[in-house]
This record gives sequence, structure tokens and C-alpha cells, in this order.
Amino acid sequence: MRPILRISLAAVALLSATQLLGASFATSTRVVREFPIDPAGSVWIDNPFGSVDVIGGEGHMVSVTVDRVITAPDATSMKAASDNIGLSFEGDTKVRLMRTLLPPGRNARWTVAVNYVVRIPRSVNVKIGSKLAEHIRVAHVNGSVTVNGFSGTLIMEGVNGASAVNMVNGRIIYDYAQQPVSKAQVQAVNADIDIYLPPASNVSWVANTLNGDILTTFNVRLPRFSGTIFHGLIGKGGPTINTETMMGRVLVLAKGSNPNQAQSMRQNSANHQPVPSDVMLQPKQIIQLPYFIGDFTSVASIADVTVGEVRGNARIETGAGEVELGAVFGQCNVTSLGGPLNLGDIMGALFAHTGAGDIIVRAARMGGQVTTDGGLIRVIVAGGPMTLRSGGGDIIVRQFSAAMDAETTSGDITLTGDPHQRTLKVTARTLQGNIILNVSPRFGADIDATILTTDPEVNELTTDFKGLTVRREQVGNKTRIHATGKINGGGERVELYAEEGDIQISSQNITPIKLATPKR
Amino acid sequence: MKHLNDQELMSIVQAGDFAPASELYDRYSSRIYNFAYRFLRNSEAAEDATQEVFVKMLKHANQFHGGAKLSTWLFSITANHCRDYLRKSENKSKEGEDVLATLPASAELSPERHMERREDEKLIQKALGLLSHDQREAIVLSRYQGLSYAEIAQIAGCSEGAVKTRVFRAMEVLRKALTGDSRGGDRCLTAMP
Amino acid sequence: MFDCDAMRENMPLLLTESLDPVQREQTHQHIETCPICVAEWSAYKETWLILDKLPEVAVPPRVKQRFLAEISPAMAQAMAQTNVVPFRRGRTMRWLAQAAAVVIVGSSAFYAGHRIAPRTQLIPTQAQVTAIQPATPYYSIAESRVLPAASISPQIEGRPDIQNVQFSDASPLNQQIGVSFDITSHVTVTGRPTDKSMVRLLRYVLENEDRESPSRSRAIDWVRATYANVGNPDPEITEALANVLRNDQHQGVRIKAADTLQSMQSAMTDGTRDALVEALKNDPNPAVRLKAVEALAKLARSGVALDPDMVDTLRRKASQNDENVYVRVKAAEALSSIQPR
Repeated sequence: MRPILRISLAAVALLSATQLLGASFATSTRVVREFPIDPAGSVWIDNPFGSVDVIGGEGHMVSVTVDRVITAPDATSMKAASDNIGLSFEGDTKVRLMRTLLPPGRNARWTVAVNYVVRIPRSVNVKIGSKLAEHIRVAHVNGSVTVNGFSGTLIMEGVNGASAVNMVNGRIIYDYAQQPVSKAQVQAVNADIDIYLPPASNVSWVANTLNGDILTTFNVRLPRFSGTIFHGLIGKGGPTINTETMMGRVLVLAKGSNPNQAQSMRQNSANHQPVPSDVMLQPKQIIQLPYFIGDFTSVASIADVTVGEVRGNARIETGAGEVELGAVFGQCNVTSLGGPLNLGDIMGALFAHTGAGDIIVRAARMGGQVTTDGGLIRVIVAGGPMTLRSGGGDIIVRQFSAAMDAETTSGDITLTGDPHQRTLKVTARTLQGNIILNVSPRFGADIDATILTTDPEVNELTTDFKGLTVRREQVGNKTRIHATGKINGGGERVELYAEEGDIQISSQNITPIKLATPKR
Repeated sequence: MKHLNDQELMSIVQAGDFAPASELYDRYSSRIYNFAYRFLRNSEAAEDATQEVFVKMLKHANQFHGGAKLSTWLFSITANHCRDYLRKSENKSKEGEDVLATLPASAELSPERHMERREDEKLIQKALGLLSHDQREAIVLSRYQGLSYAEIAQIAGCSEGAVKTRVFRAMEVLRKALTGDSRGGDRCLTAMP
Repeated sequence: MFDCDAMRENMPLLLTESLDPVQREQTHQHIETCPICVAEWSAYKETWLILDKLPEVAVPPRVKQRFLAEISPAMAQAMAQTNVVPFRRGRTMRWLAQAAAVVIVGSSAFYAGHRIAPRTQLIPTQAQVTAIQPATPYYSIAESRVLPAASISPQIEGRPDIQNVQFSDASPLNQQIGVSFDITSHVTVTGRPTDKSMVRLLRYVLENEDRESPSRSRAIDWVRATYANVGNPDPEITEALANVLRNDQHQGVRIKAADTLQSMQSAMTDGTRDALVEALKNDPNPAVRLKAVEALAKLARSGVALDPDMVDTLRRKASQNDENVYVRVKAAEALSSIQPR
């Protein structure tokens, strides 16, 4: 059977009077077509820019109405766009493919929106590809539905077949007319997901989000989390609805219920006391406070925390985020699975860890432990003994007045001793990098410094102090340069170890950094 | 020498010092030999080819430009040599019937497994023998040397599109020979972009 | 329109994972939905696997012996014919040049850690030493040369082996920076950070200096500090940093390269962006991935069009359960500011 072809062209050139400065032309073209299709056939629509409506019904025909709207600043661009943007209809009764063809390397002077309205027999399978759509709507379809999009609102209305949806931004809405009978796989990055179900539905629900909340008005049975992934049963359980959005929220509503009464499946209640093990289940927090009186606690999956002053102890645990504390009068304990930490004047003991990111500490008056699995560590003043560890990145300490233990798997270590201290215990190790130790000319220590290198002509050990002896020996294919001895009559042990780098022990007249006395 | 990269070694050779020859040989001889062996299907001819390629590398070092990868350049020399060899040998006799004769036996394998492996190798070598020279060159460089189509095109002196076709045709032949599968050729509709 | 033949031509490329993401997706989607091609694809995979049974063969040692025997007379002859002296690492030269460096740039401010005053070189004790390191002698300034950047060719030919690279900060008088290094003699090149020859030299230094040692870390610190005040850094600088990000074996150096790239958005090229995407995809160090994703997020926010591979990588990263949460959040953030084009 030949497809019935009806094309009506309505090309209109409009000069928009409202855009006096940026006058533009717009043309609209409509194409209407109809094709036969098998009841178990498939319709594939690939439309990068513009809305798509697919509506299921009776019969055995696919009918398509396409509106192409081009906006361009001048007649030349308009013609170029019109000539190059095409529509393609391909396939047979098993698969019908309709596509918007765009030229490669697009001219940014024009924009196009192509809107499809496609009516199909409800048993047909549907597949939609999109980049930017005002909306994509699939309604009353019993076949399977696949949507792969980037931005826009996706509405799945009365879709009874299995569905798989993948979006990045925008919003995803599932509106079930009857209780679900097939599984749905909904994946997004930033989009919010809303699922409306008849109250008597039986569904196995899986949800996953890093940032948003997981909310429902259903009474969920057997709720449990494995990592950030939530599992629960609605009614007796049934086909799986998997809702996953990294930054958005998931809402599953019983039709007719009040969305404001939705309960969080995360540990969201007012009385909930966060425990460290469930940090990823805590809702997001954004905290910006000039000061906080008393002990400050924040536990959140994702948190951006900025507090000017904590007049007490501080405890912050977060899965990811940026933490900035101006001053902490008591102990400070910050653990982040990832993200930079910027800490000011910490008057009590400090414990700071991040899974990845730089850590900057203005002052750790009592010392403490600072670790990152990858990133730079910079401490301006270390008043007490400190342990610093980096899984890759430089370590820089501008002034340390007590024992210092610094280690990085790859990066340079630069340590400067408090000139008021005649001796200080130092341990510094880098597995790929240089070590620079700056101390005052009268600094006394028992030095044990080692370089292990494949290139002994490049890597060297230099010092301004007398009293060290050095030996070189071959260890496998590497050379070990080992310097030992007492400087200024000896003192605490200074142990430095660098692989594939230099060691420099330098005598300098250092100006001490003085910390202001905190106002309490 | 080990700490110098290929470019640095070649610049020493270009300056007239052949001291890096041994290091360069160690880096590439295995890849060159295996390519030649699979292309020619004859171990003795592959040995000669390997020796010849490294001598040419030194003689014509000035033709090597820093912008290219040394491996690509060496494969080009090898491919040229092998094509010449095949052209000449075809006039004399059928190529490489004895290819497996000089294969070293692996100590870790049981005699049965060893025989099995020999059978597999024979089958594959035979299948490779069904290919045209161009196809064989393309599939060996792609499958066994892991080169990109762009690199193969450079070596074979043809377009990337031609390489794509050669590999595809080679795979069609190999599939039939190795899996006994002769499907294919039907047309169907496209997929989503 | 794509037909099965076209898709099948792509199958070997699919096997070697060398299709671009768009074609890869198209081919996979086609295979998934075309019953004939599904069968084809499994036959291809099977064939590909069978081919793996042809083992690597060891080169008989006699081949190397024959090769070396053949070239020894050739080697002697070739050496006699040339006057070119290859660049070599020479210990004497290095020490000499190092001393010269101290003299020649004595008045310039070195970057952190490089001091000007002579320091005590550790003299090994006789009994313990296996290889004696010479003490630093002082040589005449005549061993060194100072060249304005404008006088050197921006094309650095012959890939010289450069050593002992040091930098001097911009002079407040004329904004000139300086780069000193050893080749056959000690050379200091001075010029403005925007001079093409200076840019080329820095690129060369970043890409070639002391492969085995992390001194590039200092070079990157210096490049970052120097170009922080230069309005539009030359794209070649970012390309050099991108190569460091791709190739340096030292994680600490790669972290710095990614971090510095982030501060040079305006000078990024396609190659630079690709290096960031590669780092985000594959770098084993979480901090490198974090810096890379931060740089891409910043790019996306600035409205730069990201290519499909970048978007694809960000999408995967955002949903990758075993990725660092912060990296995932930043990837999602980058995606939220992308406007499809």
C-alpha cells in the first residue's frame, strides 16, 4: 500500500516588530504523513531540537505531523537553514524511523525547533532520541517505550509497557492510569522524578540519589538502604520501578494524596541523630553562618558549609562539598569523602580528611592530623605536633613549632621550622618529588636524609649546614644518596626521604609568623 | 639508553651514532618479527625481514621525522619489504606452507594441549592465507598490532576508508573460515543516532 | 540512511574500541535492534577471539646477532662521515653549567626554593663512597650565553637534551622573564611571556625537561605564577600543560597541570579539553580527576560548547557509583549548565 501523502506547506516570513534591535525572521513549515505499521512494530523518532508527542490509539497507521520553525536574523541565514534542515522518513511496516536531519557544524546564526505529533496504534513500541525539548510526551501506549534525552520535561502518561528513560536535566513525570504491570527504568542526572500511582498499586521501588530526597505518600514496606540505593515495597510489591537521579529528588505519590504529606525515606526526620556510617543518607545541607555558639555539627551527603566562627567544637561529615570554617574555638573534626577543605584558625586539636581535594589550614594551634587521598595540603602555622598525608600533591607548611610528620605519594614537601625552636622532630617522605626543609641557622638536629633515584646526576642533596657525611650506593637500578650527621651539635631526629627528587636543607633567617590572640 | 625515548634515540642515530641500535632493536623487534611472520606466514622470511628492517632504519634514519611514531615508520618499512617479498615469491612457489615448523614448543603445555594449540594455529594461519595481501596486512596490523586505521592507512599508503573495507572484507573471509558461518548480506533498517 | 553493511563495517572498529562515541552508540543500538546484525556481531566477536589463539612468537636470538654483526662496519663508517656531535648528558658539563647558572642569573629572583648564595655541596667521605660526586667549582661567565627570546627561532630543532632548567620571575622594570638551561653550554633566554619564541621554549621545557624527575612541578608552579597576570596566555602553553597531564608519570605533577589549566580557560584548545576529558575518564588519582572535572565544569559554566565525547564522559561520571562523590557532583553540575547545540 502506498502511504497517503498529504503535505501542506505554510511558509510564513515574519518580521518581528517587537525586536527592533535584533530583528529576526521566522518561518514555519508543516509536513503531514501517514504510514501503515504492524501491531508489534516500532516507531523511532530522532529529533534533537523540539517537542515530541506520541499518542497511542486504535488502527494500524502511524500518522505524523511535523512543524519546523526556523528563526534567523536575515534572509540569507534563513535560506541556508531552510536548505539544510531536512526531515527523513524511512523504514517498513516493522520499523518506522523519522528523523530531523541537521547539517554538521551548525551555523549559530539560526535556531530551529521541530515539533512532532505522532499518532500510533497503542501496541507499537516507541523509541525517542532528543537533545533539547520543551516537552516529550508519550501517552496511552502499551508497547515498550525508550527515551534518551538531555534537557526538557518528559511526561509518560498511561504507559503500560516496559519503559527505559535516560535524561540529564529537566523533569520526568510518570502518570500511571492503572497499576503498573511492566518494569520502568528511569535514570537522570539533574532531573527531578515524579511518579503518580493508583493508591492500590503493587510495586517494587528502587531509588537512588546523591543530592535530593526520596519522598513518598505510600506506606513503604521493608524499606532498606544499600549504600545510597533505597529499596522498598509498595503494596505487595510487583514490577520494579527504578528511579535514579544523582542531583534531583524522587517523589512517588499515591494519586489523590497530598504531596505535602510525603515522607522522606532518607534519615530526614527532626529527631534523627546522624551517625557517621550513614553520611550518604543524610539530606543535602547548605550552611552559611557568620558564627555559631556552642558545638557545631553537620552531617550531610552533600554539604557546602561556611561558618565564620564556631565558638565550641566543630564536627562536619559530608559525602561531598566545600567546607570553609573561619575559626574554631574547640576541637575541629572534618571528614569529607571529596571536596576541598578551607580551615582557618583551629584552636583545639584538628582532624581533617578529604577523599580528594586540597586542604588549607591557616592555623592548627594544637596540631593534629590532616589527610587527603589526593590534593595539596597547605598549613600556614602548625602550633602542635602534626601528621600530614597526601595521596598525591604537594605539602607546604609555612611554620611548624612542634613535631612534623609529612608524607605524600607524589609531590614536593616544603617545611619551614619556627625560628624560635632550637630543634624540632621532622619526618618527611615523598615517593616522587623534592623535599625542602628551611630552618634557622642555629637549628640543631640529627639528620638522616635519603634520596633514591634513577638519575643521580639530576637529583641531589644540598645543605647549608656543616657536619653531614654522605654516601652513595647502587640499589638495583637506582642510586641511594644517604646523608647523616649532627648539625649545630645535634638535636631531635630529622628524617627526610625523597624518591626521584632533590633534598635541600636550607638555613635561613626566618621571620616568625605571629597569631593574634582570639577574642572570646 | 633505556631512559631515552624513541625520538631521542633516533636523533642520536640521525647524528651518525649507531649506539642506540641495540636498544631500538630490543624495543621493536618482537612487534616487527610477529607482524612479518603473520604477513608472510614463513618464519625464515620473517627473520630476514626483521634484520632488513632494522638495517634500513639505520641507513635511512634521516627520513624519519620526529612528528611520526617510530613504530608506524618501522611498520611501513616492514610492510614494504613484505609486499616485495610476496610479489617475488609468488612467481616461484606458494608462500609459507611450513610456517609452523619453526615454532618453539611451550614448556608449560601438556602434549595434548600443545597439539591442540598447534591445530588452532594451523587453522588460523590457513585462514590468513585465504586473504589478499592487502587484507592480510590490514587485519594483522589491526588485530595483532593494535594499530588505528589512520596508522594502517599511513603504512599501507591508502585511505582510511580503504583500510576499513579491507579489514571488513578480511573479517568476512575469516569468519567463514574460522566459524563456518556464512550468514550476512541482508539489509535492514537503521538505528537511532 | 545506515544499512547493515555500513554497520558491519563498523564492527571490527567496535572490537578495537576505536569508533567515535556517536558511531559506537549508533552501531550498538543498531546491533541491539537488528536480529541479523546481532548474529553477525556474535560471529565477529567469536572470530576475533579465535584469532587470539595465534600466539606471539619470540624472535630467535640469532636475528639480533646477525643484525648487530651487519651494522658494526656500517657504524664505524657512518661515524667517520659525520661531524655532528650528538647531545649527551655530561657530568662535567652539567656541573660547569650549574655554576655558571649561579653566576649568570645571580641578580634575578629565582622561583621558590632556588637560592642564589652558594651553598655547601656535600663532600662524600672517602671510605664510604662508591661513586664520588665532585664539589662545585666556579667557572667563568664566558661559558654561558644570554639570548633575547626575539633572537632565537621559535622552532626548536633537533630536539636537544636540555638540563638544569631554572626560571627567573618577571623583572619589574621591563616585565621580562628568563629561562636558563644547559645544552652544550649554559643558556639564558630572556623575553616577555607573550613572545612566541619564549612560549615555544617554555612548551619545550614543559614537554621535555627531565622526564625522570619531578622538576616539572617547579616549572608548572612558575608558569602558573608568571601567566596569572598575562591577559591571554598563548594556547601553546595550555597545550604543553595538557601533554604533561596526559603523559607525566608523577601524580603530583599531573594534579598541578590540571589545576593550572583550570586557571587558563581562555587559552584552551580542543586538544587541551580532550586532555581534561581523558584525565577525568582514566586518571587513577582522584585529585587529578577532581581538578579535571572542576575545569570542565568551569568551561561549561562559561558557555563554551562541549563536544559529545565530553558530555558523554560527564554523564557517565555523574552516574558512576564507584567514583568519588565530589567528582560526580561536579560532573552533574557541569551538565546542568550545558545548553545543547
